Amino acid sequence: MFASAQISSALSGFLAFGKLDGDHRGLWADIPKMLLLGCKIPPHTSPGARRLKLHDPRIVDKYLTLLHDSMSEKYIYFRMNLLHSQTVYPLPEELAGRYKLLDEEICDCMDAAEKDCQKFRMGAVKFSPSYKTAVQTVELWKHRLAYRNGDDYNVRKILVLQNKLDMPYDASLSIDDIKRKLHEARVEHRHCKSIDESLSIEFRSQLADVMEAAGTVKAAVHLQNMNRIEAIRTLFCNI
Amino acid sequence: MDRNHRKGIYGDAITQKKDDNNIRILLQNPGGIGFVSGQWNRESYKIEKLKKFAIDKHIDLVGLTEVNKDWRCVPTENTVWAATAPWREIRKIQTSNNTTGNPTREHQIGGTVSMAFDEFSHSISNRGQDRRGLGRWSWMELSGIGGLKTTIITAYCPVNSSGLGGCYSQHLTYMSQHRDELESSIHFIQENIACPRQLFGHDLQQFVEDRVDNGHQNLLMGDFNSEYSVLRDCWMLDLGLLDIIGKQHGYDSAPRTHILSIVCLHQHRLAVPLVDS
Repeated sequence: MFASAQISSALSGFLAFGKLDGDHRGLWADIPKMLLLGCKIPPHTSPGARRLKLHDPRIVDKYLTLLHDSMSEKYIYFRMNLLHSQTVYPLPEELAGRYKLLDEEICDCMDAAEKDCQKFRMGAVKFSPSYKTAVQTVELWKHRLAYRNGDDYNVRKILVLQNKLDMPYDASLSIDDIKRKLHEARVEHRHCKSIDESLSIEFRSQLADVMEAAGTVKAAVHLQNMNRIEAIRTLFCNI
Repeated sequence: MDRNHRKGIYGDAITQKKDDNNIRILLQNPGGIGFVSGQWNRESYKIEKLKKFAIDKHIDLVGLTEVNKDWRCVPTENTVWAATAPWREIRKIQTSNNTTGNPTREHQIGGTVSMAFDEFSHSISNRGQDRRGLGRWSWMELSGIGGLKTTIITAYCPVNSSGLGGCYSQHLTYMSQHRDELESSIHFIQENIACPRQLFGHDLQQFVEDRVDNGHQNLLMGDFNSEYSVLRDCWMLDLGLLDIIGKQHGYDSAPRTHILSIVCLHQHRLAVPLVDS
C-alpha cells in the first residue's frame, strides 16, 4: 500500500497466509479519517432492534398479557371509560389534558410491555431453552456459593434465578453440596453447548408447529425461514 | 521471532473493534473471486470467508485484485453488487475488467474490485476504472473538508506470462490492435512501449500525476507482481508515494505477500520493469 507522504497509518500489517482464501496475504491499514478526509465523520448509528415481532405468536401473546396487566393495574380501562362518558363537544381543556395524560401512560405501558416481551439473544451458541436453563443453573449455583462464602453476592439475582428455574432455596446445603451442584451444572452446560445445534433445531421445530397452529403457513416454511435467520444471525453475531 | 511472527502475521495484529476515528482498508488478491451469488446459501467458501472477515473486522474499504471475472457476462443476481447486499447497510462498488474485447465467458483473468461500506461510502464523490478499459485499476475519489480530495486506487499489474487468455496476453492483443492509434485517441500507445507491464506503469504514472496536479492525495494499493524493493525505490518514490506499512514497521523486514511457486519465480525473473530505466 503506497500513499502520499502526508498519509500514514495508525495500525497496519499483513494477515497470515490462509486468513483469507488464496495464496496471497491480505494487507490492511487503519488510517485516521483526519488524514484522508480532513475531518472525523461521526460513527454510523444502526437502527435499534425491535423486541416485539408479530411473526411469533407467543411473543405477541406475552406482549398483550403484559400490556393488559399493566393497564389494569393503573385502572386505565376504568379511567378511559369514565373519560368517554364525560366527553362533550367542544372538549374542555381539563378533559383534553386528562386525555393527553392517559395517552402518555398507555405509551409508557406499551414501552414497558415491549421491553419485557422478548430478550435479545446473540448468535455465538445456537439458542435453545435447554441451553438457557443450563446457563442460568450455573449462574444460580455460582451466586449461591458466593453467598455461602460471604463473597460478593446479589440476593435479588438469586431470588430471580430461583423463581425462573423453580428451585426453592434449601438452607441445609453445605458448601461441599453447593460445589457439587455447581460442578454438575457446569457439566450439563458443557453438554448442552456441545449439542447446541440439535437442541436449537428441536426448539425451532416446536416453534414452527406453534406458528402453523396459529396461522395459515406451513410449519416447514416457518422452519426454513427460521433456519435462514439463525444462519444470518450466527454469521453477523448480532440481533 | 516475536509473537506476531509466530502467528504468521506481520506488523500489528488486526483488532476486532476498529477505532471510530480510523478508516480500515483491506487489500487482498483472492486469485479469482470464484462463484458469487446474491443467494446466501449459494455463496462460495472464498466469498463467505471474505464476507465474515469484512463484517467481523469492520472493514470500510475492500480492494480486491485479480478478480478474474468479466462482469458483462455475469447474471445480475450473481454479481458482486447482489452478493454484497447483505454485508452492510450501505455500499459503493467499483469494478474494473477488460472491456476492450467482446464478452465471451465469465472467466477473464485480471480485473479489480473496490468496495466501500457504510458511512465511509458517503465520502465518495467520484469513481471509475482505467481509461483504456483494460481493467487494470479501479479508483474512488473521496471528498473531505476544505476541498481535501483523496484518490484510492486498487490496481492489478499483469504478470509476464505466455498463457493464452492470461492478463498479459489480453493486454498484448489490445496493444497490437491499437498500435496505430492517433495521439489524440485515448488508446494511443507510445512507440517505445512494447510490454503490457510498461504500458501499465506508464498509464498509472500518468493517472497518479494527473491526480497530484489536481491537488489530490493518493493511496495506491494493488498487486504489482514485482519485487518490493524495486517497486518501492524505482517507481513509487518517483510518484511521491511511500509504503504506509513499511513506514510504520520498517522497509526491509517485510515478508513476502504471496507463496512463490517455481513458475512464479521464473515469471519474476522474466518480468519487465513497470517503467523503463
